Amino acid sequence: MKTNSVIEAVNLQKKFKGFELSIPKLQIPGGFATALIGENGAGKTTLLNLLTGIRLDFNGEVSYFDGKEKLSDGKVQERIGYTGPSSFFLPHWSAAQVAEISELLFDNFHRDRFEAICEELSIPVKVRKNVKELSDGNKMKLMLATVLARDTELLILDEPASPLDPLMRDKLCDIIREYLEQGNGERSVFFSTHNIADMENVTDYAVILEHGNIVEEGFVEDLKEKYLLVKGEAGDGEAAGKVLYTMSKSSYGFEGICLADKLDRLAGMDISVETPTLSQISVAVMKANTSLKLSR
Amino acid sequence: MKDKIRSYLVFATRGYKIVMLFVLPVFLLAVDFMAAVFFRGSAMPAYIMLLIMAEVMSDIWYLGGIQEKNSQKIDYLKTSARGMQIMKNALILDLVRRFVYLVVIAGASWLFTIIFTAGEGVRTKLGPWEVLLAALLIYTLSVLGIFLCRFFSYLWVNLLAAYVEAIAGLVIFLIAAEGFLPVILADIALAILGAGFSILAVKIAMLKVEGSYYDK
Repeated sequence: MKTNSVIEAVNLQKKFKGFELSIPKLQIPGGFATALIGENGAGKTTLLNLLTGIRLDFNGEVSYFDGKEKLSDGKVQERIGYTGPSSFFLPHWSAAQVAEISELLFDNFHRDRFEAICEELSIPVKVRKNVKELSDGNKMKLMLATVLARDTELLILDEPASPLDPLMRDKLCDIIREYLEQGNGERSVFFSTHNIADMENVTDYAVILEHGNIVEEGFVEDLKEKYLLVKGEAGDGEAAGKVLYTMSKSSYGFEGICLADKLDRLAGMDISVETPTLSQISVAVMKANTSLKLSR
Repeated sequence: MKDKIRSYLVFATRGYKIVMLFVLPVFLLAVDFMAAVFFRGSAMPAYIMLLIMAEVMSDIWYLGGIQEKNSQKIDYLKTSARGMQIMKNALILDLVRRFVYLVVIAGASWLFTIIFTAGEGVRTKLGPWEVLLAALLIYTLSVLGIFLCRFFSYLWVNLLAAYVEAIAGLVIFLIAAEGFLPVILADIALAILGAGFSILAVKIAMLKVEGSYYDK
């Protein structure tokens, strides 16, 4: 599928002690919701920080909206809404102060919309709580309210689902879907997540990051054609293990992810083939790459 | 200018705004008024100490710890191209507010003393240079105090600095006011020091905040 890109990064490199983010090429498709998946310490937050200009000490080129804009131009930030982890707002800020600073920071912030979203998401604005007094879930909701109260074309959300309860995660999916629909193909969302299963129904494209490298990416429908879920009898487990990408065994049988182009090598075995979920594909890809690193 | 004032106010807590911008100045003016009316004198030495302590101590609720290595770096500011300018505006306006408040309070104190003692032949020792000395002393010491304290985010550091500087301020003022120090020379020295500390306070805070883009 050929699409326009909303973010393009080339030769992205960032080194820490004992960790290196190294991405030769990254293209986030425009008009879709893209999930950034990876285990803890894979470099998801670092990557998002580089893409949003929170960190500037890296090598490589990043451009936005079909390569036409760069952060240094100073205008692209108006079109991007970002929610990040802990040190986002001053702890003593109230929701009213968050609205106040948002008005100063962005021309396209609408206070009335912010208040309506706070009301809709049940953020306790009227009880004059400080940010530090809010629960993690309410902090995230407040961050979401600030970006949704603006006229943006790209949302970059770092772990938006993690602090939210199941009901609010469902609401988050609705919010993302609604945001994309209202944009008529002109809006995109790029979010990192550990809650793949909860976010799957809103994910169009997935990027899987391991040890600072992209190990898999693609549209979810393409990934579901590339990888298959295979289940079989315990007796075939050993032979199947040589073919399967990843596998788990029990006394009752085996289950694993198989690359579609290797399926014919399982011919003759008593197996069933199913379409895997994005969560199953992601775990398999992460497992494969983690074990490869560990075995070295 | 309106946006610059909003930039300054947005970093302050509600309590800070009420106490530092309204209650304290009104209280000090009232005390001074009463000192002039009922005691025919000035409360200047007392509130040199009080103002230095209040300014240094209260900063923990404004931008306390902003220069600390692992402080809250307010990533939200970095998501906008205007974030750093807003921060800089806040830091500058904070110093301007301190200076204006101190000059107004010290000036009002002096005026009260003159107005209420003039007709009774009571001569105050305090002339305009001594009043300027008091204002510059409070400003310079409190700016030095907040500059040093912003490297930490502990209330006790602000408290300690507030006590030490308040005593130092009183001692310097009394020495100058009693004629052991040329007041005009002290005014000039304090003006230079105050300007220097102000530049340092803004520059270092901005370096620290901007440094968080680069792991510094």
